[in-house]
Amino acid sequence: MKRIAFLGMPNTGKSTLFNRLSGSSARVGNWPGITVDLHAVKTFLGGHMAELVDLPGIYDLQGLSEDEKIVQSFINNNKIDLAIVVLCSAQIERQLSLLLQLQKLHIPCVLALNMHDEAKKMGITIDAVLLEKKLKTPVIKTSAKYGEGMVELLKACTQVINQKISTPIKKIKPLNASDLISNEKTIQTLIKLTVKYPTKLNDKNTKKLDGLFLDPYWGLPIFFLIVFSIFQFIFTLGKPIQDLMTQFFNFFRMDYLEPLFINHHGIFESLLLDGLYLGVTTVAAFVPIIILFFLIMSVVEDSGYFSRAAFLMDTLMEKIGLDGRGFVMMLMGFGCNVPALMGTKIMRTKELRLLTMFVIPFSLCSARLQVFLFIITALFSATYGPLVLFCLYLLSFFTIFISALIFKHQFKNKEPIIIELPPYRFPTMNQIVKRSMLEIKHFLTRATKFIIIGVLLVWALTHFPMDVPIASELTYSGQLGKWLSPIFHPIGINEQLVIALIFDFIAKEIVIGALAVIYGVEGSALAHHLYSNVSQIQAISFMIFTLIYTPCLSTIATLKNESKNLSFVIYSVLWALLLAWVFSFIFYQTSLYFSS
Amino acid sequence: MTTLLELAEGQSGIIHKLNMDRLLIQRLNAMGLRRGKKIIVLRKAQFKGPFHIMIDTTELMIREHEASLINLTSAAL
Repeated sequence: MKRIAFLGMPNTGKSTLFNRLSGSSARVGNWPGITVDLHAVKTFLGGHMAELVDLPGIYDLQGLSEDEKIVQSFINNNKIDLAIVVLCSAQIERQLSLLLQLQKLHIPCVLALNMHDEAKKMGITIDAVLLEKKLKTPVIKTSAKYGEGMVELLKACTQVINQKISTPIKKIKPLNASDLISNEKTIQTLIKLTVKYPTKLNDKNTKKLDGLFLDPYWGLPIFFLIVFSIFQFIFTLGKPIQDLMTQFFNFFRMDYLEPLFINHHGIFESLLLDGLYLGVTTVAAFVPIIILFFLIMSVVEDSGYFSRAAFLMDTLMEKIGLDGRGFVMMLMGFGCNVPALMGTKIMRTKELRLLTMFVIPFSLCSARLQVFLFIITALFSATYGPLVLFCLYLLSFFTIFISALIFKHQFKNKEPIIIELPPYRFPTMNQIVKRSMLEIKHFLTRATKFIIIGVLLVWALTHFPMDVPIASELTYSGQLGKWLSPIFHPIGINEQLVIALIFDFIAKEIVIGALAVIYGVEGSALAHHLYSNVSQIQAISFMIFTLIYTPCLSTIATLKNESKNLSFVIYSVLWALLLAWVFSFIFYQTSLYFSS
Repeated sequence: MTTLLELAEGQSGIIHKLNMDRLLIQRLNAMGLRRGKKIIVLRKAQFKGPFHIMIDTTELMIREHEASLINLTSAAL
């Protein structure tokens, strides 16, 4: 089996090229020495089975950034038969260095001058034939977006992998100053010989759009308008789909699954229905939102607007140790934390990304909103209700900022924040769809197991021992509630509500259902029951706690997937619990003091 | 000796030296920031925010701290 790696700088269309050559069957795989996910696909090439691997975009083979380390460790630990080096034709001058560094390691290369259509439009011409001769490496002009040059590229790859390799591949070594200078000289000579630049570069569109999007006065309002529209689009479209799925799952359960077990009401049936089935449907409920989210996000990312948003918000975000891109993801978290966490992938520095992932779960997502709306309408008048909700939103922002401020030194960003602002580009449908399909595959394969185990655990807590009423005070969850009451009593949360918090842990959507089970009443009767059994102060304290502590199992599963760091997840969950308790405590005790 | 930090919007300068460790220099080189290259400041964000700069065909956002590490030979008008 031959191994072919795709290498290139960010914003060169490397992944698009990878998708072109690999079809849609890319999977996520594991390689020695590497802990992150890389996309790979097996294909037949030049009489060999070949494995195509898409390595992260990097600026330099040396370097200490997360992505650079991944590429280094991949090259040092895995035999590479061919590297397809992808560069953006218009920026060939600064991107050739990557190829030269790879050639020094004796890795067989093929150079793809990608986005050659864009360079042509700017008036830049490259003599590929001469360049090929000088570099002693096949050079192919491509446009991955429009599928140009793919046949020629494959042909060149076939030729290279069928050659006998005489010199063994070296491991990456640090370059010294003289290497740098000689590389630099080689590049300058090559560029002078093979590339012609126009006297004046014409990229008027990007200039004009930047004038609008980065305007000192209009830039921010436009940014918020764009984020708001994205939000509206995802959730006005996603919510009905989610509701429909929920309805379908309920219908399927009532009409097909429950009749199957009509004569057995044993623990096994309960395990299947209230445990396993609930777990599967919990996972499934996220599918439409994640797909829609990544459909839109790839448009925003590929178009080049995302780095502009980063520019706009950077001034403020720098103060709390984040950057502009983190702000966009944080806002997305107000819809749903799960895709927002997955979206932080775009931030390529580890500490920055971890800090962003640390604060996203404090965003008041739409699932929490549902719970709050139910409780608020049950307990508060139409005048005070909206005010309570508004304060919860304020609190959500406040906890984000305070957590970032407190932890910005823990997750101190050691990398310089220099972000490329690529020209505005039209993404193609093909790219967009492939990206969201990959993301959803990723979520399902990695999160399902974790979520189902969590649901089963909560099921066991609320159903055992077997001879007592479900979710009652006599179950393990009830006993746990009683045991925890010294902790929850000072914040006004009684034992029944503690059981609700345990359910809360799976997903906020099922809290109302859980309360119905716990109190044994449903719908408006439940609202009435809450009204007469829970005080307003208790209710707000409960909502504050619900807002700040762990949003849901899926969020934890995603935190784990994306960070690959269990202690980070535990850290983040514990911090949220502590913060939730402190805020509820302060609120509950001061309210009690003033109301007595 | 001026640094990039001192340039105003619309001004340009020639890079003389990158005042940082070797690895960082390599990274900045790869992004197009190299000795002898002309930098144009396209815009600056308000409240001491980041710079939007252009070198050849590459546009970058760079924070004040990093801008202060880039020495220029001459600040043209």
